[in-house]
Amino acid sequence: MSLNCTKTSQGRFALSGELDIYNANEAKAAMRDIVSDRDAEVDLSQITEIDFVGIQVLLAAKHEAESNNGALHLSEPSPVVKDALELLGVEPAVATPQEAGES
Amino acid sequence: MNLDEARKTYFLEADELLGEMEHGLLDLEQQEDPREQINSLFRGAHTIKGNSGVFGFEHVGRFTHRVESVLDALRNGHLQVTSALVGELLRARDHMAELVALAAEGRDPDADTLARGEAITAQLEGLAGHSPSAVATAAHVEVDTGSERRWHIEWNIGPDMLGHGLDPLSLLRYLRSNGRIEAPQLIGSFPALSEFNPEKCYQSIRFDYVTSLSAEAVREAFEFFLDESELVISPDEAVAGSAVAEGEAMTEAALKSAMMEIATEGVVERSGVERGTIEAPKDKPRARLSPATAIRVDAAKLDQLINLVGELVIAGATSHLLATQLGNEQLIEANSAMTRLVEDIRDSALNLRMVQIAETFARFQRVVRDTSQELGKEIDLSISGGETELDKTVVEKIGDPLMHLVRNAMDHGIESPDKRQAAGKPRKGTVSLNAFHDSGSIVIQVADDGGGIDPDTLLAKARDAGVVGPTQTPSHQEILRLAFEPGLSTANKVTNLSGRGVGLDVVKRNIEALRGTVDVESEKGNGTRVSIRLPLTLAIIDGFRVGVANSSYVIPLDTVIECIEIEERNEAKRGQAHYINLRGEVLPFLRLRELFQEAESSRERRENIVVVSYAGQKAGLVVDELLGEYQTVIKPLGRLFRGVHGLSGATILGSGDVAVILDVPQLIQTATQAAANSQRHVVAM
Repeated sequence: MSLNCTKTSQGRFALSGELDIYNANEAKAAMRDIVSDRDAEVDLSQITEIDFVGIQVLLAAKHEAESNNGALHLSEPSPVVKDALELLGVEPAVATPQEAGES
Repeated sequence: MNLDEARKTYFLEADELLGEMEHGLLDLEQQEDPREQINSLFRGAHTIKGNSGVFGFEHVGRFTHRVESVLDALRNGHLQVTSALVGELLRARDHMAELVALAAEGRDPDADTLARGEAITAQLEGLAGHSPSAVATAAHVEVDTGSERRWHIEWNIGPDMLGHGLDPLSLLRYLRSNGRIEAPQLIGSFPALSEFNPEKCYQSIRFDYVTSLSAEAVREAFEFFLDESELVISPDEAVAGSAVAEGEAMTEAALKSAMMEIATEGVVERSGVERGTIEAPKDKPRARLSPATAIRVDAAKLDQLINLVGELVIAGATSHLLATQLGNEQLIEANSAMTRLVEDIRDSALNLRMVQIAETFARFQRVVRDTSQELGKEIDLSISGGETELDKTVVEKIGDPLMHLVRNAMDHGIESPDKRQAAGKPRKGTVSLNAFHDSGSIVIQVADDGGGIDPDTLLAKARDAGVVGPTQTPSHQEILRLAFEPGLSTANKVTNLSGRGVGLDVVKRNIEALRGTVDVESEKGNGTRVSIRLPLTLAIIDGFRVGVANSSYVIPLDTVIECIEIEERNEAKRGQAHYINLRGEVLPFLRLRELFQEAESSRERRENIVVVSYAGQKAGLVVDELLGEYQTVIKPLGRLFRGVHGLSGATILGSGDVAVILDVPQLIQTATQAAANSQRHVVAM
């Protein structure tokens, strides 16, 4: 029932746990940390739960990074994340690792 | 975080629907034409299934789906109503309730529960004569209109919806399980992250939905989300046109009546739309739930209102008192007008809490059905007076005592079918529940046409237990009341009363805690009737204020019959007698002065007797002064006074003094006893 954010290396973060309304504020705080790196990548493979709130936080962070001329790469979505993104038609926004490398 | 509002609604609604289903099922066998009943059962199950899907309570949804399938077969006439089927459906309903309760706690059912559910559905489907899959398919066809259609759906999610615990994703998942979601799109923009409120929704969703669900079903899926959203569902032009041509104009009409908008108005552009534009079509008709005829109010709010009204009553009394003391005519008049209004407000406020007892009674249909099967007896439940109203707080507390009594009547009252037949009675026994209003109280009766209480056996038991002395000869009525004595409920297992830990003394205690009384009538061989008498409300009473020495006492007005002045030379005035001759009738009385040890009044003055009655018994209360009617708010007595006999509560007078409210039933009993003792009569109670 929690959300953890770890910095794995420079500009690379990993989120794990539940990215949903119960952790809405934690999620926002984590994303603010992450986008303070201009060109960050977030590993979403350890997300076990996500809802609309979680998706919005990810997208808002991405928007923030881009409006600061930076970028935020969402990589390795776990099955639940992938499913949610697909359902909302935002799948293309998630960069696969390869694309992340290219951009 | 106001996360659970919508869920709360879901659970409330599910509870209601499950309750209705239970009544519906129990009624089913009695109906000559059960079709309407079956339809409403089906609708209930259908709604629960749909809502569960929306909220992601899969277990509830999945199980309900299978129940629904069987109901559907019933509805289509593929199945006949049989006792076995109804029994199984009842069990299924219980299981649904269990699953809903688990969902409410946020838990998933354990393997054991799931296995039980599986057994129930297997049994049901066995009875229905369908293989599970066949039934399942049949159900799908029902909801479907047959052919697939494409809908454009534009959903402007209300900004606060997420905060209220609604997740659009779960709705989308539900839709996806019944069709295809194509080209979904999120529209909207985000503020800077520092301004971003993660619980607020900044996005709209737009997608095409291809499904064979009916327009109604699609709309229903959004039902919970409607209050806070702008929703536009429009049929894809081409397909919709052909559908009309195919003669589905009815569906189309239903669609329009559901206030959905037609796509041709399509005001919102597809790309780069700012949130402002999305919010623009506010004045368009919204999809609506059916108009509400009832409002759910938190019981605590209602209690608070009643409390305030209570204070208002007291404040009104103060002001009235002052006005009278000042003797200002206009002020008194204005005050009287206000008092009337306050009384009206009080009555309306109390009325808000009044509920019909029918719902409580209806629960017993189930109990009687189940228990009679358990006991191997044939028992009918007959209900009358269900429209009688009483305070909600009383209703809540009456359920358990009633359950005791009903079970008791079935277990020990009604005989086995063979025994009944031998006694020349119909094989089927009847337990009846009845309610009516009687002089400011509500009377609830539980009666059975069983063997009745054998007074001799009961008396013998009472003698054994030492409750009745060997030389005492209690009256018939007194013997029957022994059934409610604590010492006897377990002791008379051999008689046809009580046993199984169903302590009638507990019933009596519970009822007395509600300021009520219990009485029993019984004739050996012809049955028993237990009457419970309860006050209509626990909050406010109309009282009659009397004075003794310098204190005020309040007697509940409905118990007061008349007031008599004691004549100087009446022997009651001085003597030790405890009764007077009231128009040829013996009236026991009590002196409140002695009872409550008030100071002897110095002035020689005439005393008055207030004649009170309760449940057919009368007694007189000797007081110094009659102070008139007085409306009072009952304040419970502190723990210190719990044990004091003859008091039921206290109230605050307009002057700020405290007056105690007398417990008339208890006083009558004391008076009767005292009088009887002085007549050297033996009384068992």
